Amino acid sequence: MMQALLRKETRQLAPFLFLTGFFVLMDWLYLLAMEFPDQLPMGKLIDQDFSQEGLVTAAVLGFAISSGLLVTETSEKTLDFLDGLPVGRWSIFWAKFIAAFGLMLLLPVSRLGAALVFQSLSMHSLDNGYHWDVLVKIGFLEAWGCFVILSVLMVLSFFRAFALLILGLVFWLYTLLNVVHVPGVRLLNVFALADPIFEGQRWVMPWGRVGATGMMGMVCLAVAGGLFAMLGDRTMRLGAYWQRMQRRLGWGAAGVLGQLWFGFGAGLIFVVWIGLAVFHFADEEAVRKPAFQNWETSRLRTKHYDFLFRENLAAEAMRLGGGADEVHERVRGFFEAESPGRLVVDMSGQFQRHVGQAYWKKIRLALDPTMDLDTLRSILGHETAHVYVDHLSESRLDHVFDSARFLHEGLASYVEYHLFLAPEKLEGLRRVAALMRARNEVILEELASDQQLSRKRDRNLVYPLGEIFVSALIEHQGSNAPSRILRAFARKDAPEDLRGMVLWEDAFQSCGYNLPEVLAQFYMKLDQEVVAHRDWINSVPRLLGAVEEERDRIGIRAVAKAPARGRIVCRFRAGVDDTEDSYFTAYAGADGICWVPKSWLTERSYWYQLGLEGAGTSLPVYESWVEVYRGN
Amino acid sequence: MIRSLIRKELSHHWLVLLILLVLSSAGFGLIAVSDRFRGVSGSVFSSYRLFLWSIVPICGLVLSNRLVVGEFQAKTQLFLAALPMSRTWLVTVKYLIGAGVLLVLIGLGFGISAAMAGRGDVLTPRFLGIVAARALVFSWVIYNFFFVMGFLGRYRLALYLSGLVGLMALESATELEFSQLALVNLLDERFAFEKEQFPKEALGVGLGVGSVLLGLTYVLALVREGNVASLLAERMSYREKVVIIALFFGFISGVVIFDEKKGKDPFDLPGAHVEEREGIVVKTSPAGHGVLTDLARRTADELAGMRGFLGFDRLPPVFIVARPDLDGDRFERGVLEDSEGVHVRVNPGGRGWDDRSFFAFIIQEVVMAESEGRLSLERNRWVLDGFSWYWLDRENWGEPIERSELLTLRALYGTRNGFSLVQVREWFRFKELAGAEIAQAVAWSGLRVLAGEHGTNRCQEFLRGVLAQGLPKDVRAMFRERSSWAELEEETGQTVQHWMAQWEEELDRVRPKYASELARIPKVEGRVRFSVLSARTRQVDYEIRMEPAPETPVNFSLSYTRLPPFDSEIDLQTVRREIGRYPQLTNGTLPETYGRGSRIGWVISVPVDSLKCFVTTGWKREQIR
Repeated sequence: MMQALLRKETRQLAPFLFLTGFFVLMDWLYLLAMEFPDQLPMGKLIDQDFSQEGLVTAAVLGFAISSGLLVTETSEKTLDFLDGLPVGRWSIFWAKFIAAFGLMLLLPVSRLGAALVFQSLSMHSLDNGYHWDVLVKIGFLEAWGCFVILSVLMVLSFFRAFALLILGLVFWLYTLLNVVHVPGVRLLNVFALADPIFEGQRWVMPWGRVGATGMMGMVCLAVAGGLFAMLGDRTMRLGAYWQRMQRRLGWGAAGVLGQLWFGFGAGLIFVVWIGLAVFHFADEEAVRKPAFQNWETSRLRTKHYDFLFRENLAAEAMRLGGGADEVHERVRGFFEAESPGRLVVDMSGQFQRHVGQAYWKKIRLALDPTMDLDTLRSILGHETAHVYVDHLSESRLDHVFDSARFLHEGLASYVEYHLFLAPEKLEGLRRVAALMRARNEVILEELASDQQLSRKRDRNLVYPLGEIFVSALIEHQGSNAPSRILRAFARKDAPEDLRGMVLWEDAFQSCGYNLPEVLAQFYMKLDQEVVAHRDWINSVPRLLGAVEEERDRIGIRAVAKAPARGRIVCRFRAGVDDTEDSYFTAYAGADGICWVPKSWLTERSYWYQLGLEGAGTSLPVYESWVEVYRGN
Repeated sequence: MIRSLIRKELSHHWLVLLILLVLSSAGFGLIAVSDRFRGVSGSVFSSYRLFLWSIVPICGLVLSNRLVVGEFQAKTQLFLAALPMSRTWLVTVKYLIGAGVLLVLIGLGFGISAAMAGRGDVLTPRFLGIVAARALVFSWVIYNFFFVMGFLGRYRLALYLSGLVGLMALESATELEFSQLALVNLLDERFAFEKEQFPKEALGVGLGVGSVLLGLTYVLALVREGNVASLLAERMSYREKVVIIALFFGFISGVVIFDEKKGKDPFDLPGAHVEEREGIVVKTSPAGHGVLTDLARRTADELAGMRGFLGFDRLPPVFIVARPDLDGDRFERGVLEDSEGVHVRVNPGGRGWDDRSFFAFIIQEVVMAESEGRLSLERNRWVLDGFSWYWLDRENWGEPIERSELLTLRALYGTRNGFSLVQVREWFRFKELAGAEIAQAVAWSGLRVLAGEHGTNRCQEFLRGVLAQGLPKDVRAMFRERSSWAELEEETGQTVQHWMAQWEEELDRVRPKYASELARIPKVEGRVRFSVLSARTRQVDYEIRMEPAPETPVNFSLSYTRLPPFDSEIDLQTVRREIGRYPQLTNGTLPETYGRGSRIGWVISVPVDSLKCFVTTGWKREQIR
């Protein structure tokens, strides 16, 4: 009977078989039409094809299949026929699941076939194997992903019209839990299952993620099976039982009200639960502190700014506000621009990572009473410069932020240090630049791509290096060069698809400026800084890292040939493309080791970056990122 | 009657509408809280913007499904049509109920955002008006879109998909960018911060589009007494859905393939110095740079001659940009992903600059670009490697190869340990072991032997047959392409083995003349060791030895790179160098830490005056244990 059921389900899914075949065909056709098949080795194919993209296609197919797999048996009233067969609901469920899963498996099988064929055609003297181990692992992980995706989508199908909304909520819930670093939540990302992590040439199996997603898949499968078993008569009987209970207990009209409150209650519980969970994970320390009432927010208006601040820092705010318009005028004068309008400066909150942040006509600033007025004014100048950069480039620099961050921060740092701070303060910034130059780590392509820079080095290098670049630009092309270049980015006929150095070349050329000569000046200034700070550079040791592991924490011990001045700091990240806000920062303790809880690093490999803070520089100086593979 | 109709709609849908409100509010809560914890959004209205982007369209879809699609699929609109009221009112009541729910939803989000933003923002009436106008118009257009789609019943899936494809096609075929659409501009990154200017153009376009969609709603609902909507409302079968999805993906693939095949846009360097010859364009930047201008002229001449020799109609444009921080002997190739051309950065005045080396480099790059990367196939690569020097050495064609002393010496050095067809077939490996400059000279000698034995015309035909095949960048190339071996046999009428024997013979003939010079070239040996820093990290120590030891101290460089998991030709722009002076320094340590299990490729190179290039240990690939 099971075979008959499977045949029936397969027949029913025949249109999707066509669809899957079509997907596969399009995949192959695309590769055959766009690439030389004999120059498509597995390395290239894994980069462009075997990543989250593969499982996203499986998810699209799974959504189409699962939306009609179980629930249409009731909407089309065919469940009664199935119930007439001498098999139980669970057998029917399994037949449906197996048929659908089998269908979805065709996607990874076809992709593996493609990888095998193209690799066999593309072998050369440096890479002449089939990499069977990699193929088997990809196959397993993609099949596993299909199982999990199908199980989750089968549960979602019971929500019918609300399925998309629930999916949206799940996405935002995942985002939230990720943001507050709930341990292990990253492991639930099923789409990252087939992300390649290589230890040498060996694909490292993400067993943690396989286990976590597997648990999720099995739970969803059980829920979907249970709901399917309850469909039809049983649900109706349950409904009738509920109504009888209402009558027996004399609820009557109150029942409707009860349902209403039930709906509200369920929603409320959900929201409250999320809120509590978030606050619990995010602020464990807070529960051990006495609570004080928040100070009210007040406002200080000047000609150009609206300052918002907590009442407890009113004196500080007024101190800053007193000279704020002068700050604004200096920045406006530097950019030779019209004022963009009133700027809101929100000083009512605290920042974890930055002392200031700029948005379109808004600035957030941490009002720190321990800072001297000059520093506060320089930060305000820095952030105001960002606002002007956005204003003059008509947000174009935001659209190409990856390529333009160096210029953005360079301009703001130049304004901060040259317009508002004493010349001796510049030394701390320039030392960082000099050190990087001396270490031969000033790579233009990285400066023109925030992603590349973040992957390899400290992305905050754009501050010191950008400041020197802008200095070189102004020395070479004159003081109006920044505003002309920013306006060039905003010109209507600017090509849309340029990125990296080519984008810069375009902007410089359109102003009639000579980028190569500016770059020559930039490197010359860097070399001068190296000469000027040679002794200091020689005193900064290179830091190598030794990994220490304990039961529930991982640590990095800095190994240096000479004693390190300053404080050793180490940043950790779970993946190469993690954003800065998800880095974990730890300082060396009494044992000289920077520790991080193991639960923060759940992937099969992690990255660390050692640095020195307070070694005579205004920013910590970091070594390159290092990837460490976790043992089995 | 209208009141009864409203009561009927509410009693029918109240639970769904309520759930929708609760779930959407929960969605807003999640977005706001996660945004707050991320701490980079700058305003609560940024969360509101995300809510409008992600949750409101889904609500519009659910509302239209519930109010329109469900009614028409179940044919219950026929009962409503029997009521003593106009069809216009029937549609209007449904429309307003949905719009009301959406209004409550976005109003709630707006109210909560405004209440929360009070502490960190200046909430002027104008600012709130701008945000509200943006949110309302955006939501209204989205709601109208889904509402009118609801009347299209079975065809709405097709229309959703074709709308999406249409946008993609438009973006691909024109300069239009999705981010520039007025509706998208309503919720751009200024949404939460612009306090003074209403985005009048975007609002106007939004109101216009919304009105058109609303008009369409009434047309569809009322035309022929609603029969059209009833006919369209039939549920789609699986087969129809599948065909629609297949068509959609087929079309998308078509658009993508068209986009990539349509030919790249020409890249340009505005204001650059331009040199043009027939089929050749060379631009240098900055204009007015004397050395570069001269280089552009000579490059154009070289390329023009080469173009005629190989029989190309035209070659990709060349852009040469000065980069002062490069050594003279380093040439950097830029990537132009969506544009046509060869973009290089060089430093013509830099230390180690050599015109001929640059021409050899640019010729290779241009011919490679013309073949769209096809010549990087191993079986043909040696021809390209040899060609650039064969062309540049054209004044010595017809002469014995030893007239080109430097190249001959390099070729002899590269083949000092024996040379056979196996090494030509495994050209990538050979090149890594010998070094690029040496390997190019070896390949050059092979072409010179071919020209010497069969004439320069035959050799030219062979080179045209391999390097200028004009293959399409797809699977057809595999079937149309002629390999260097087949071409060689056709042009010479001899077997490859025979040509190989002639090649070896020629090299053996000249080898004794250079024996003493070859003997003086030092043999470079190197070794790396991985010292344990911890169970999971290593430091890399290296050692170098040269024999015979140089008479005067010499600089050596250890080039190294982290290797990807699958081996291919090493990308020289990922390579770092440690430079030392031998024999004062014979060992050292790389400055970085390496994770155990990662891979490193390294080579030690030493400049040799007689060869005017480096001799190396050959690239070594090692996994760090």
